[in-house]
Amino acid sequence: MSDLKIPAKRRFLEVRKPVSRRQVLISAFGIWAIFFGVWILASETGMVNSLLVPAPQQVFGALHELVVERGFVGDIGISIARVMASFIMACAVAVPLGVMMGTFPAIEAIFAPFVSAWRYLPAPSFIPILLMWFGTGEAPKLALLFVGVIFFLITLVMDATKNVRKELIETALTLGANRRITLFNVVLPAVLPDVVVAMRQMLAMTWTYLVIAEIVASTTGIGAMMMRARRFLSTDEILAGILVIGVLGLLFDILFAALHRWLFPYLREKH
Amino acid sequence: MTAPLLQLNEVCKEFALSNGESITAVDRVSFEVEENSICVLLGPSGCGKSTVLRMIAGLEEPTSGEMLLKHKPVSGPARDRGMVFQAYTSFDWLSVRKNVEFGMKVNGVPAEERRERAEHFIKLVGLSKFIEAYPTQLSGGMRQRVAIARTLANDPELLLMDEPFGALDAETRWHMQELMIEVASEAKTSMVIVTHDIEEAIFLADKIIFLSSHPGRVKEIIIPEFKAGKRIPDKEHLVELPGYADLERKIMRLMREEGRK
Repeated sequence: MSDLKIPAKRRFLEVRKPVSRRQVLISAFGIWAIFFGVWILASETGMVNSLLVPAPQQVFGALHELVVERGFVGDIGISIARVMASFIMACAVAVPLGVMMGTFPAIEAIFAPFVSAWRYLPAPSFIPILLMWFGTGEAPKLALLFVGVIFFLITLVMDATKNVRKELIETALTLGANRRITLFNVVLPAVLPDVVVAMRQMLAMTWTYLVIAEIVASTTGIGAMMMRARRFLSTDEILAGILVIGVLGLLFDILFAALHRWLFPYLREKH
Repeated sequence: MTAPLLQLNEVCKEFALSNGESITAVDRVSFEVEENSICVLLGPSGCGKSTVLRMIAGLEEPTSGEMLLKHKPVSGPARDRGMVFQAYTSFDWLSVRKNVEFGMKVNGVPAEERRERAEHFIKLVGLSKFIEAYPTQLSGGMRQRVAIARTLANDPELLLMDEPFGALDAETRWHMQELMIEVASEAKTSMVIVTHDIEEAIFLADKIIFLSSHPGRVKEIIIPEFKAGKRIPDKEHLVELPGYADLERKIMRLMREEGRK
């Protein structure tokens, strides 16, 4: 009885079977085409109030007008500068501290109880007190972004450092390395790829806090523009702001991925 | 008579358990390793052979007893006792050349000499073609050869290996064992090798320290007499020698006795 059946055709849903590149592209474009299609259809047919849900072309038109006539590029620049400044400050503290905590249990014993307690305090709850301490300038915004990111980043870096394999450290020691060399020439290069991944995740979080800071207490930046637009019922401008934030987040993510590939070519060689 | 390179006298290791009691992992272990010899620590799992090796490396402190390297007490890890682990320890961010130069750089060997020694030992383990490659591009056996070259190039008094070929497939493993025989005569390195593979032990050892389990004690010190003081360069040759089968059977019995305990 030879009843061997060769499956005639691939089914659409196959468990953990990779799909072709063509199918990936069609699916990706398809979902966005449906999204915009429904959006355009809804606004063209008047199914939704065009004041609350402007058509896509209206949003792009508003974005064009904002950029060309109302100096929106300056707002975008200010937002990027805020994100970068506070993110760099947070990394400058969190990366060395996290690596030290992951390497030396004595350092971990000091800071870990402190850091893990702060992680449970939502950063936006500090906004009122930050405004009272720092006034309405740049300082409270940078402080919010800094506080919102730093404790998570410390924990991520510390955990990554603890995952550096014991044998690597012991190899260095039996080759005659002292503590300084073990830290800087073995632990640090071993953990660096994971640190860059952690930074990439936390940069996305910094953007979230930026919007909160600018919506609550700012007259400049993308978030502030959106709050101004709300007062004039300019929903197209609000949506343009959301669009810009999304595109910026995506761009920074791609940049970080490229940075990772460029910094750690040896990780690519596998497969 | 030459003095032994390494001497262990009544070395004990106790580990504290979480309930406040302590357990003796290594109990009064004494043996000697002669200069230019390969000493194999063999025994069933749980016999503390890895713990003994880690104490020699300085990665664990003995609870009591004495360990002397060239008559000087051993304390803490240092370059005179280089260690090769079972797990891969290549520094993935460095090329094969930089990996092998690592120890020498740490110890202040001048760049020119570093380069020459690295090239020499990379050639010895047969990786000259891959000298500029990254470890992630290499197979498991090749990465282990990088680790061996890196340790040898650092010029240790004693090369310690903890089941170095345990993670490799059978064929690669015996290539590596033959390579170690070659390296030992070429580089005149003394070695202490931990294994639970009887064939590997007989092939490599000038002297086998057989440890019993729970607690780890020296049960028997075995000199493979049938090799007549020579190292056999290939394995086919070894298993054909009269006396090999007898020794293998004897060690199997020892293993089985320990297993029954």
